[in-house]
Amino acid sequence: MKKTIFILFLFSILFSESDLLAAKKKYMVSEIPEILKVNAKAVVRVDETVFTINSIGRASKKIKYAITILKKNGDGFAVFRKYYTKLSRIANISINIYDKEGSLIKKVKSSDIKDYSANSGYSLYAENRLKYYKPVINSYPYTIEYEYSLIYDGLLNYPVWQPIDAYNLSVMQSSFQVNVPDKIGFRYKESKIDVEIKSSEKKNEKTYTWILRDFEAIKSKSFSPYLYEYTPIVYTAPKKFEIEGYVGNMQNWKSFGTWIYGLNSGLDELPSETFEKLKNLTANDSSTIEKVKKVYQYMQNKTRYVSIQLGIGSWQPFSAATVDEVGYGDCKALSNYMFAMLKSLDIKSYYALVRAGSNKKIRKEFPSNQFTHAILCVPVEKDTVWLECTSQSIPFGFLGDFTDDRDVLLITENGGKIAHTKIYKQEDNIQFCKALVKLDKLGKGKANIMINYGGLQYDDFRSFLNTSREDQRKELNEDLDLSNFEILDFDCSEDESIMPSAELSLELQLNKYASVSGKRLFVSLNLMNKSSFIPENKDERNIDICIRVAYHDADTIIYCIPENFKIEYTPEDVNLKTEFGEYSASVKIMNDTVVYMRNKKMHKGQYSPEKYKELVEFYKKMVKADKAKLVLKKKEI
Amino acid sequence: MKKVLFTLVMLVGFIFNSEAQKVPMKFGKIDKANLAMTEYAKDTTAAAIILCDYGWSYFNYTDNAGFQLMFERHCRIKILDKNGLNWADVSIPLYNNSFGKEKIGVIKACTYNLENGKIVKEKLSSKAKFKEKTSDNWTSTKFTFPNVKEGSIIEFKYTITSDFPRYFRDWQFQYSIPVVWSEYLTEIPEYYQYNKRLKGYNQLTINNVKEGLGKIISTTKNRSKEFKAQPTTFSRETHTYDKTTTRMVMQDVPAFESEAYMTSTGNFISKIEYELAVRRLPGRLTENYTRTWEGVNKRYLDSESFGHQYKGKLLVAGTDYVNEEVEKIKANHAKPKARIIAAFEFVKNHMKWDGNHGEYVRKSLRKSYMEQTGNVGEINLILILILQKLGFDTEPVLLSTRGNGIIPPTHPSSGIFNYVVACVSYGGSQFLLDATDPLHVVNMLPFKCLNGRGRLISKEKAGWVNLYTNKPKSTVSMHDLKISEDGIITGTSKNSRKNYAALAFRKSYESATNEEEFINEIEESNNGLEVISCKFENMTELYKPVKDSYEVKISDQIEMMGDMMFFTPLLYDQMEENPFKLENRTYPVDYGYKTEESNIYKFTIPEGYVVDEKPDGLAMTLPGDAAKYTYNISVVGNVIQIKSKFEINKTEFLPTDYPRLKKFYNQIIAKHAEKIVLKKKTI
Repeated sequence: MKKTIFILFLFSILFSESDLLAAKKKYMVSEIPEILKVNAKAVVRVDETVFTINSIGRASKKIKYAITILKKNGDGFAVFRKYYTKLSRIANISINIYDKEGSLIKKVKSSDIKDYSANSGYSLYAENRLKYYKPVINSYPYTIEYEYSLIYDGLLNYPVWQPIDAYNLSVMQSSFQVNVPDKIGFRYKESKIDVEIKSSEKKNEKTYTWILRDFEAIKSKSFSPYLYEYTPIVYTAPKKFEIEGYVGNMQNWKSFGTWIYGLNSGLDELPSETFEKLKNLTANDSSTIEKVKKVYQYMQNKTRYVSIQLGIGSWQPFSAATVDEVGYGDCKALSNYMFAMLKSLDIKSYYALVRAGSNKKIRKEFPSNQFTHAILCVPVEKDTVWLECTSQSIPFGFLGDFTDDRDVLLITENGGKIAHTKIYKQEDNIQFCKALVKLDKLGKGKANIMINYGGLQYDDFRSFLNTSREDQRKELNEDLDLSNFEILDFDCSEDESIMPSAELSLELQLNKYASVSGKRLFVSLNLMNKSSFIPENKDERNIDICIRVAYHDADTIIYCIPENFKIEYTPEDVNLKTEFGEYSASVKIMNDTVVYMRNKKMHKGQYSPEKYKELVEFYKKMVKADKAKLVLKKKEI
Repeated sequence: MKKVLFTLVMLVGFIFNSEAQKVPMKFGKIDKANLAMTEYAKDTTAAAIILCDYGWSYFNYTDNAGFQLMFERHCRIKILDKNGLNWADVSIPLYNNSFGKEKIGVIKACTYNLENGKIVKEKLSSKAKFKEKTSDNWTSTKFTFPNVKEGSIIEFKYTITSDFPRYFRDWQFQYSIPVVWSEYLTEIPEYYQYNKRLKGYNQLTINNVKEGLGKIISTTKNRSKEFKAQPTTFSRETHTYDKTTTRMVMQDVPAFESEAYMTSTGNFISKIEYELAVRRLPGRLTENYTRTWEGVNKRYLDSESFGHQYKGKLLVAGTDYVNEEVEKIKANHAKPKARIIAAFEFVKNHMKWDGNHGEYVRKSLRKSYMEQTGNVGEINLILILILQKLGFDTEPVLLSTRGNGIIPPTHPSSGIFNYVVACVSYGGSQFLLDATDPLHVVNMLPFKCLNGRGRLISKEKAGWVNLYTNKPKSTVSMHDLKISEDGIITGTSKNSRKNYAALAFRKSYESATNEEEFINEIEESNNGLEVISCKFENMTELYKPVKDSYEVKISDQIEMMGDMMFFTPLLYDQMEENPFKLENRTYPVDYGYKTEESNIYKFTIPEGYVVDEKPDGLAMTLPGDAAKYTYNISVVGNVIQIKSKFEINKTEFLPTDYPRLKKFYNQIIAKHAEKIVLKKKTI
């Protein structure tokens, strides 16, 4: 008995001794391989995540992280910023800072770590909070090391291990360990993994470990895929899960959808007056689509979007009756409300979970919660109508680039089902401009312009449509790609069909459109749609080229040349055809007018890196062609 | 027999409002015409309007809490279109610390809609109210109105009880939407005196001041211990005091819109601000806060977190910690100016700014010095301390940053300052130093500090100090370029940048990952430019101009047309965009510093070509030499030389100068767009 105690005691002395020695020198900068400093603002020295699953509803994540900040411009990487919610809690935070020699220079006190509410500006209420600490260190390089635990009580999402999650960041070592009881299990999915994976077995428990070493910093490049698409990543997800007593199964989309369906069930009751109102409203419509449209517009006028994230880890919407009463809700509540109204008229629709925004890829083969938003899917006679329920102004059935062209999870009475939202094609995403410009001998001009926007280009233009006329005028003054002009008049109109479009007409006084040099006038042919961007081309390209949106711009500009001037020079026609897109610009002379026609089409797609030079050439030629000028010369009398 | 009387005293106090004030609106009494309104005639573009906004600040006395500040707000808003719906989400921030808190009472809130000609009223449900802890000292009470749509009227009313009579509620008359009626009623007892300051361009339509009496009635409860059967007796005592009631109204306040080159929204929005000047509570010493600039001065000198940190007998703690450095500077530098710079350089590099403004020392200078980090106050007071120890006459200058608002010289106050810099008087001149960034130099405060004047805090010499430098942001560039027959330009570009131009260049250089990246960025922002080699001089020698030179190859700048070629001679220095795009302007333009930009271009044209056409020269001056532009062009043999010089000689331009200033830029843009035409010689 006594002996055991003695041995333990001795051990503890030995440990603390070696701890001290280790504490003396840790994270010396000289230990970083030179190659990892190239293009790096900071180097991750160690990044250890240990995720331990205790039960279907409980788990913990232990993090140990150290990063060396090489220069001032890497300070942003040193900020400790960890989010938690009502269903998770952060514990045991310790933060230490070391200088470049590896000596400990600061132990951060817990009172210096701030605790904030972490709701984004548009969120009225959500249960997100944040622990925050920002070090202020005067000499570079320095290293910040921190450890903390996150304890979950109810979780839908398991961690994603993405060791390279930023540009200009090198990684010396990163590891991810999952400890999981055999009877619970978990699922994982690897991508671009070229790292060691170890697994070991104990009694009733398995351990999986992924380790990555010496990964060089990546520079940000134009037309790049997202980092997660070409760097190592491991996704994990539960088999079964539990949140606030609601148990679900995530092994396939069907079962995950069943869980969501369960959360929503019973929340679709509506007061009878509302039902009567809807019935009267749609009484004269014979087709389903007309009825859906009426109900949708009724909802748009009645409700507004307010982000209030509450209920079952913010996964449960509040009831349709509540929305009916108060007239607002978040995306879930409003989609459910629309669902409920259609249901009361015996129109079938599906609540749909979607990953909104530009980062839209869903890993279909790995059922897990990859969603951030909810919309509604209404199958009608020939087609499917998708409804964004959080906007008061979006045309019926239009999605825009927030939710277009992506896989979503339809929640049906038979569980979840993957479907794809509307794709807006090149011929939909248009900007067609027609203009007549009358020039005088001083280079002044008067322009009548008409621009048509469609598809996703209409989507970009919507924010303009929805501002006041005064702000529109201001915006035109600031954003039109012209200098020294006055707006004489402008107008815009909108066609709110299922493939909506808008038209902007402008009447401008151009105070100095053509530049005068002695007897000549130089006239820019491209009125206000010049491209100026040339992708960077110094480094060798080794990642794919990604063009995310297809579109078509067409400009037809007619210039009336002033009296007593003749055309001295017209640029040659340009015709470019590449895999990425097409461009043409041409000039036709008809009496005293010059007709300039420009066509630009970009094709959506992913292309191999060796084609990058070709892409740069294409852009260079477009920029040059867009600068082309017509030269007019005074007639000698 | 001695009678021991044990008296329990309990004071219950409250204030009588001697006369009921007439309020501009009653809760729930909605005008149907307002509900039916679809457009606001005075501003047809408004998405919403504030129909009436009423605030009432008064004092309440209780024995436990003493004087508490009460604030009642009642606001009614009309939603005109969908863009106005966000006015239905309300957030009320509340402060608390270890001494007290602000507490919000019942919130009354209703939405009104017109349905079939009838007013339908809906109350805020308790489910739509949230309380949220924003940070350690702040919480927010948030709520959102039910059933709000185009046409709705929303109205809310609440009272806040505050334990901080020091911070009297400011009142904002103007918002980003029009305000029809805004009224603020204040009742201030003689015990408190505040400095008031009305900001913005709009006038008060009513400003009534009435003197009157207020009462505190205290109740004393007496109970004898001996005769238990005797009933408790009450005695009432009435205290009266003088009270000033002020009623301020603004009517038809237009929506506030911000403009480019404005110092700060806070400088121009219509608002009344309060600052405690004197507190004279009965039975207590009069506490003087600030009322005169002398008072402000004294307050800072006597403050433990300011004056006592660097000066005088009352020094908060020892200052030995800087002695070693002081001796080092003395030993290494003999000349006074060299010592000033050495001290400045030392503090800039020893201390790292933590990103916080504020002139006060938070813990202690010593701690800050040891940890090598600090806020603005800590860093610059350390600098002042060191300079004083070196024997220099050094005092702090307080200022308000652009984002914080301008200092009103006629309204002495200490609350307006948020920044401090060091001021050294030497050889009859004053030198301003700000050590928060290693790239700063003497007498060149960062742009955000260029906001009116600063206040020198000193026992003997307190007064105003000009913060602006006379030195312009200066760039001189010289380009010696050769044009080849196929329209390619090659040659050298040399730039010399001084003052703010040097600072800006050093900053952007510092933010690039490395030099290669920096060059890439230059190439990317100048289409067709290829940097073959480059040289950067004096990047770390801050008192010398930055000299950056490049060997370049430029394609895509020359347009070929048959036997002719043409180009805009200022290449990448061509001004293409007017910074002033609005048709007219309400607020002054404030550049912060003067500007001087010279560009000299020398082009050697290809053999066999002659200059067929070139722009004419140009010279323009705004009245009083406020801005100047000259453009000269000459051709000697096969060399074209262009000299372009742009000057802004004044930092502030009034709105009346705006059209002229805008035109000035437009003329430069037009000149810069003019072309040189080269033509093949005909033999």
